[in-house]
Amino acid sequence: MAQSSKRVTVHCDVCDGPVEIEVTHEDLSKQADGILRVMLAHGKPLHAIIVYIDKNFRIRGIEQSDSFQMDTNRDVSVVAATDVAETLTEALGEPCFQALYAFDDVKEREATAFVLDKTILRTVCDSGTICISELRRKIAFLEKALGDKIDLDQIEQVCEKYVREGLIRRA
Amino acid sequence: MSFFRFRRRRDPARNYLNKMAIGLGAGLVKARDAILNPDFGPQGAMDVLATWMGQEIAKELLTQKKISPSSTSEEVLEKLLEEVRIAEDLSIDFDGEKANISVQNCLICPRRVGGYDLEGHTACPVGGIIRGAIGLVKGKTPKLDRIDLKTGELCQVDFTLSG
Repeated sequence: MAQSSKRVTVHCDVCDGPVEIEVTHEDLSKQADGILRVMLAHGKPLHAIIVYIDKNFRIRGIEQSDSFQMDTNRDVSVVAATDVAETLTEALGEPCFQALYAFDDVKEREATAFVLDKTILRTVCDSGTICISELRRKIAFLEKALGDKIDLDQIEQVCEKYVREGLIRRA
Repeated sequence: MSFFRFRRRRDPARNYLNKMAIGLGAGLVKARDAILNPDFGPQGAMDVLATWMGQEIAKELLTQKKISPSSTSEEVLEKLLEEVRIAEDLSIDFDGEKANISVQNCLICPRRVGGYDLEGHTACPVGGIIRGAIGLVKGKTPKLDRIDLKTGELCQVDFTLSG
């Protein structure tokens, strides 16, 4: 194994087993949004999953296809992951957001922001890239603290505000 | 030896203080873990506690029939600010679903009124009280678009009522 690559083990829900993939620093560094999408065809019967890997080789998401079809008239070829899904939001089917700054860089600016907004921003900044359902899970402790339910719409509205203000962007 | 007996006289206007204390106590317990998080800071802790206070004040407004569950967010807000004197000069500009509150000569500012050195922090309850009160009555929480606090000066709170 080359020094600039790393083997990452992911769990495939289709065959319910571990699958290994090799990821190179070079592939990761080419991704403008920092997320490498790997279409992984494997198993018997053959099936495929899409694995989302960040620059720290951490698995950010796994998506499985409902069906798998291969055009038998064509040679097997490698398809660029970006042709499968342009963005993480598109790939996961839910809004995903990416931090453009470390929280310490924007902390002063957000000093008087409401605690919900500030916690959402901090969570996105700390996560790098995060989908909205995961974001909701991470800030769920605020529901008890604030005594009300924080739904996905509220979180998305706050994220959109920060997108407009240029602190985060849709991934 | 002396004896003192206190008997409560009916004075609904004074109930708000009791309700705020109830909200403060409940909020402290429910949010204790969050408040202890150093990331929250004084303003974050105040946001959380003030939300609970706002909910309790709204309950009292409903009890006193100053508002009803069918009141609009604007009505809740106007009655809330009328009953709980937050500032000497307070204006609300409505623009469709959006509202802007300007608070001047705030009467609950720990720095200007209380005279405390806040050491560069803020601890304004206005945003939390509004969010808690409207959220309780409408079942939907308003979105606080902007909170611009200048302690002792002119504070601005923008929010969307439809939240």
